[in-house]
Amino acid sequence: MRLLRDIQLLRIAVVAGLLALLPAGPLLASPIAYLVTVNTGKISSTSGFLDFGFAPGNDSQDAFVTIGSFVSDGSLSGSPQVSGGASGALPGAVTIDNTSQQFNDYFQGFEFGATIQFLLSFDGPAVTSPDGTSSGSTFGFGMFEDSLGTIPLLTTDSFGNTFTVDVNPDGSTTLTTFPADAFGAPPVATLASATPEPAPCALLALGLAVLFVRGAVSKKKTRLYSVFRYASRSSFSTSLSMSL
Amino acid sequence: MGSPMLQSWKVPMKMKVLVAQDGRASRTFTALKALFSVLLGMSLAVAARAQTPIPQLQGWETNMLQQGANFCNQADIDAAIGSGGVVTEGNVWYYDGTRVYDQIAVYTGDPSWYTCAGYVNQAYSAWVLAMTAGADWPVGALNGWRIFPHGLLNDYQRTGDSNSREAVIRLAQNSAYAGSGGGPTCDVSRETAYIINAYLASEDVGLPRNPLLATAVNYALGHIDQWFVSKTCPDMQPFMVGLTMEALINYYETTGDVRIPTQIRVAADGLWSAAWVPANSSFYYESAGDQTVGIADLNLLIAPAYAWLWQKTGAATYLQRGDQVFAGGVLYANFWSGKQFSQNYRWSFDYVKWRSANPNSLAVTSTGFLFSRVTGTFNGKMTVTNTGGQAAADTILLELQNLTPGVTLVNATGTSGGTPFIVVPGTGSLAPGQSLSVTVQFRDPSNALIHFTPVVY
Repeated sequence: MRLLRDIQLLRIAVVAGLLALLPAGPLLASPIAYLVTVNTGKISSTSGFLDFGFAPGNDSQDAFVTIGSFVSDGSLSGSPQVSGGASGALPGAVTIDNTSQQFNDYFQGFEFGATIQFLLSFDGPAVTSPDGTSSGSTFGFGMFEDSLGTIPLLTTDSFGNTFTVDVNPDGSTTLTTFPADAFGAPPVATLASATPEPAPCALLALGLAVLFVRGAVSKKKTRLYSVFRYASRSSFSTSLSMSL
Repeated sequence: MGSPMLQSWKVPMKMKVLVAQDGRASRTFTALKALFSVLLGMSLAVAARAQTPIPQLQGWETNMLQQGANFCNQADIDAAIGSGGVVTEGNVWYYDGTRVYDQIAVYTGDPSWYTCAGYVNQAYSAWVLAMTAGADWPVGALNGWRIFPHGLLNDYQRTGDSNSREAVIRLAQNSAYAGSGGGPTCDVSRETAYIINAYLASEDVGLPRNPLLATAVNYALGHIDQWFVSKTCPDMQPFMVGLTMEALINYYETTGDVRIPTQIRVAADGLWSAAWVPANSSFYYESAGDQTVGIADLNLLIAPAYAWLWQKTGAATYLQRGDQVFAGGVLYANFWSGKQFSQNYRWSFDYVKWRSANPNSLAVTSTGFLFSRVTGTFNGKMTVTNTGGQAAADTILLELQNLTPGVTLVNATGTSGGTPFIVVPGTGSLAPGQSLSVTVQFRDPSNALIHFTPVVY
């Protein structure tokens, strides 16, 4: 019995220790992520441009968006135009923040295939600790025929977006997709909720905690096994049960 | 008409009421009645107050009752104006004594004040009808600064008196500026404001909208520009600004013209920054005169505009300014003639009304303003949410004050003093908890962060 109680106490101590590592204040919400799939079959084998933008509203909280795990049977072409708070390059991760200026954008030439897929992850105080009163920020993805981005592809949005994601003042998100054409063809983009990859520090802390707990339990089990072995050999089962 | 006998009555609260008596008019302002009026008025006011107390409200009520009785003198009124013409403006008829006494009757719940309203109405309507007898054109004798249609309208609506109705129509059709809608230059701002009131009153007695109403309103908006934006008016008189704001608010309440609220803001802000003299708790008399001395007995021709702005926007600034203007006007009121009494009580009942009710409580949020290569603009959505406990007006305006330099609101409905505003589309009133949204499009050549202070009307 005492061994089980020790294990329980150990677990509580570890959890309490991990909680103590968290910053003071309200509990943080998690980043928000979507697996985005864009059906580009109708424009397959044509050339065009991909446009990723992220912009603040009026006095928005800080936020950033990461475009990761980019895969497509199409291919990137030329060098991207990177503006404002955008950094990185496809097919690697591209990050865009909303803090420095209004125009934060990644514009990339592209030979379209049948599908584009990427993981879209929103993070920062606007998502993890929203104040509920500031204005939101908006992410937009669009595809264009021309290098100026004035001829949108596969959307009816007058601003040229295939879809947008609003980060709302309360930290939630609102998705908007647009019909692919004026005849009501369904949107070419689908967004599915995804689990964002945990941050490296959080991963490390979690891993250490698991190892620590497992190690401690293993140690106790070994002790327990030894005691049982000794007890069975010595036939001191009564005293053993009392010591536990 | 002999000279009136003045009789002094001792009433509680150390208030002295002077009541004129002559042989033809039998009026009984007894001390008991005065006491009743005071108590009733105060109880009404207390019931109406949902906000912090209005400073000097008790003084305003006391003056209303005391001076209202003092200037309720039929003989004096008849001697000042009538079918024979205007003898003096130093009388309660000027600034619309009929309207003043009607409002006292409503405020106190004491219908005997309508007797006083009747004295003024009879004399004033006689003058209007006499000056325009046989004329179907504007006549200069019905001077543009003596146009007081509210009292006539009230009387017609309350009693059905055909003379009152006809006098309203004559003011709108035959007074000096009836054929021009006022004028474009600021020196006729009062005439323009008054003819707006007359046009509106003529609608209320059943006439179709006067086609010159729009002209007159455009003139009045031009006067605000001349006073506070282009600053081309050689002499700005704050009480004239008050008369213009009053007329435009009347016009807005009738038509919902979305240009008006932000123009009232421009005028009220401009007036405060240019003409408020804190040491005297009042505005100076005119910009071409001594700007270091305030004239407080004109305050109550101006104060209601601040309460109206506070009611619309919920901005504490207008509450604080309005209270200062109102309190100064009451503390330093001057009642040396009936004219001063009427100028103090002509519009200030609306101050008490707007100041006593809960203001709109509307919160504004926005999405991000995302750049579109298609339009070359930053686009987003602004949402107005009613966070108060009462429905908000159906026409909601969003003004973007202090917008980042170089940034323009491309789809603005208009601008007031250079500040853009946009109408939030939607029908019906905005119930508590409900929201309305509007798309906004900005041009931002420097890509600077788009900031502004949203103000909702």
